Amino acid sequence: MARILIVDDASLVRLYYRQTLEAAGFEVREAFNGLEALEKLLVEPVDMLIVDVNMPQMDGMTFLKALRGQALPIASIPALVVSTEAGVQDMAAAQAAGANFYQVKPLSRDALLQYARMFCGVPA
Amino acid sequence: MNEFLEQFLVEARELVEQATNDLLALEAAPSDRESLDGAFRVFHTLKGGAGIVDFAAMSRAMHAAEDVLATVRAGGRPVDAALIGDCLTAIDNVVQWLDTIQDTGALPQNADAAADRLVARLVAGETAARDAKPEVAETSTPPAASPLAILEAQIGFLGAGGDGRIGAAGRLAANLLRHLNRTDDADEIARVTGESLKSGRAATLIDAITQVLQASTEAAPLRSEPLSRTLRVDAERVNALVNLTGELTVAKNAIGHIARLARESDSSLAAAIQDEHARLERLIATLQRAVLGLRVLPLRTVFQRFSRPVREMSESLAKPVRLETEGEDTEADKAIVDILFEPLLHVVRNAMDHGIEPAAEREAAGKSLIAAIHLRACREGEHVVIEVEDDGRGIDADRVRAAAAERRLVAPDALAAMSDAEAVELIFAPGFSTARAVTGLSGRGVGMDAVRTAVERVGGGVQLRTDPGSGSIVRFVLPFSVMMTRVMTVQAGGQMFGIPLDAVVETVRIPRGQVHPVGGAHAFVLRDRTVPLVDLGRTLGRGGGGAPAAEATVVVTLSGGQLGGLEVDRLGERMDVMLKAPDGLLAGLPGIAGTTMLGDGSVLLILDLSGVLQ
Repeated sequence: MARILIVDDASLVRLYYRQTLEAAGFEVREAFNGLEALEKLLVEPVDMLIVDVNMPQMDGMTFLKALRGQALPIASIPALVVSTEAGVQDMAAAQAAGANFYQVKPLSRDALLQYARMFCGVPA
Repeated sequence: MNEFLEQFLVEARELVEQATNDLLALEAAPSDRESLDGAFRVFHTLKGGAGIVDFAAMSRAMHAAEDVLATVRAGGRPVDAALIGDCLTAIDNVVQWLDTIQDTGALPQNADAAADRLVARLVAGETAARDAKPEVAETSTPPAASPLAILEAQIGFLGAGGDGRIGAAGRLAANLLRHLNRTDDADEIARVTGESLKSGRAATLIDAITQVLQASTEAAPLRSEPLSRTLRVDAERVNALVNLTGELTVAKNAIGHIARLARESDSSLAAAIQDEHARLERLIATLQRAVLGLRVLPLRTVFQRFSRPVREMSESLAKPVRLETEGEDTEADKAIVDILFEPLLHVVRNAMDHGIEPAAEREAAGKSLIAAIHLRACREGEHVVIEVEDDGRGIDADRVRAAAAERRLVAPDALAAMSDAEAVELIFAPGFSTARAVTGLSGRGVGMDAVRTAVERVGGGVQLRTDPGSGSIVRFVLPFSVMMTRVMTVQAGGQMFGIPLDAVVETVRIPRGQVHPVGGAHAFVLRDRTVPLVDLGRTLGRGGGGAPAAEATVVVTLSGGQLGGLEVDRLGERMDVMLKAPDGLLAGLPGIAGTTMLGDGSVLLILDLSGVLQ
């Protein structure tokens, strides 16, 4: 089953994502900021990243820039950025930083699962 | 008490007041984003402040409250009385702690236990809320984007290039297609991603994604609701688009030429231009397919024109006939649909006139008195197949032989050596007609040869299957879209030729004095480059007529990476033609890429430039 790394500093958000995704059979890993995420990826690759923008120490955008500059295959992990910022410039900034797609919060349970299935190639 | 702590207390009391206001406002208006964000920020700041002054228990409690509100902001749970209550309890605790800190400079002894209770309560509330009514949160949040929208976004994502992006976009694109159960497309994208990574060119992957998206838009009406949204557009406008696409091809070729020039002066710039040229080339090819896709029409427009003529023929010949059509929804390029009626009508007439027997004969053969003519269309891969089937007497090979002998179409011994199937094919020979008497319908001097010519002009073919006694099927196999080749016509040695326009760089006039002999050939200098010059008429063995003009009219072409000049007598027009591979005497003739039939029935030779310039 596909493995997903949640990068978010809010533990309840991580819990919410984890429970939703695990109930659907996904394997879930957690990191509370970009630095921890990079460290975890070097140890164990994943199939998808769900990344928050505002995080302490290393925010989502800085993390994605660093990620895309890594060696393959780590650099090639598809990333979904989930953030409260909804402006067009935020979407463009996220894509420029290295996000494959950008979803404005709030993210419902259905939408979260739908994204996980699409990003991990689970047939509809 | 130190200054630091005093500052913390002042700030914290302000924050507590603000949090209370925000939480009460949020309870009154649960969708009020500003109050939610305000309360969230307060807990966030309190957490930070408590951390700085080293009140770990308070920091822990504030973090839990902050997380609860973060979940709300993420759509994870709704705003309800329980949530507001929990957060207000947390604030009450903070107020008590602040009082104790003011008096003693430290948190009370029981702060750790209180903090634990708060965290447990906040987390439990979160879990309870989730179990109780998850649908509240879910109905108010937007759905996920569609797979195709995400796929399209990868084009923008790929813009900056780099291995990471190519890899990530490629993986995601393939997964999106797998999600849509389009395994073949997914495999293709995976393959292209590998290619793109190897060359380091994001454009390769962008093009592949563009093609998948384009194919998806084409196929979409089939998958979604049957009532697709259509738009009526004047055919002329679509044709203008098709022609513009052709012109775009010419502009693209000029850029290819410039890239070559640039490579000689500045290699870094040349590589960039060449990259863009390659990308332009693929995009234009995609555009061309898309534009040609606009020109499709259902065959219904042709089929529905048959019921009346068939009824009239049926009456005048006193042969009761039932016309049945199938596959009217099959689509084909307008250029093909437009030419179909005449040839099909001819085949239907033949079937009515010669194929279907008089009623008495049908009765004797034990056939239904009402004859049937089927008009069918279907798509077979890149082809559209149209069949006219009748249940008449079929074609009698011996009668065809007799008619062919009578008209001296074939030598008697050759005729005798022919199989029945070969003999039947003679009905396509020019000047063939087996009608014993010229009836009002067939036998007007237009035979099956005209049918075959018309179909071949649009790149199709005609097949015939006949079963003596039980009927015949005439089958048109047509291309789905007409890929036209745009050519420039020129006159040389008294004859017209076509030069594929995508090989034409420019046309120039060179004063005779500037044409220099080089070895046994000629050349001229064009913008510091020596270009070999070939006299087209002479090269093709048509001889140069009369004295050479003071200026040579030259078509500069680019073929196989080489510039070449073709001297011609006169430049003609540009036109779209259906290129047909040379056959018969022309096959194997160097310098001829193919032929095309012009509107007046004459044949235009299309040049193969690499052959001519050698």
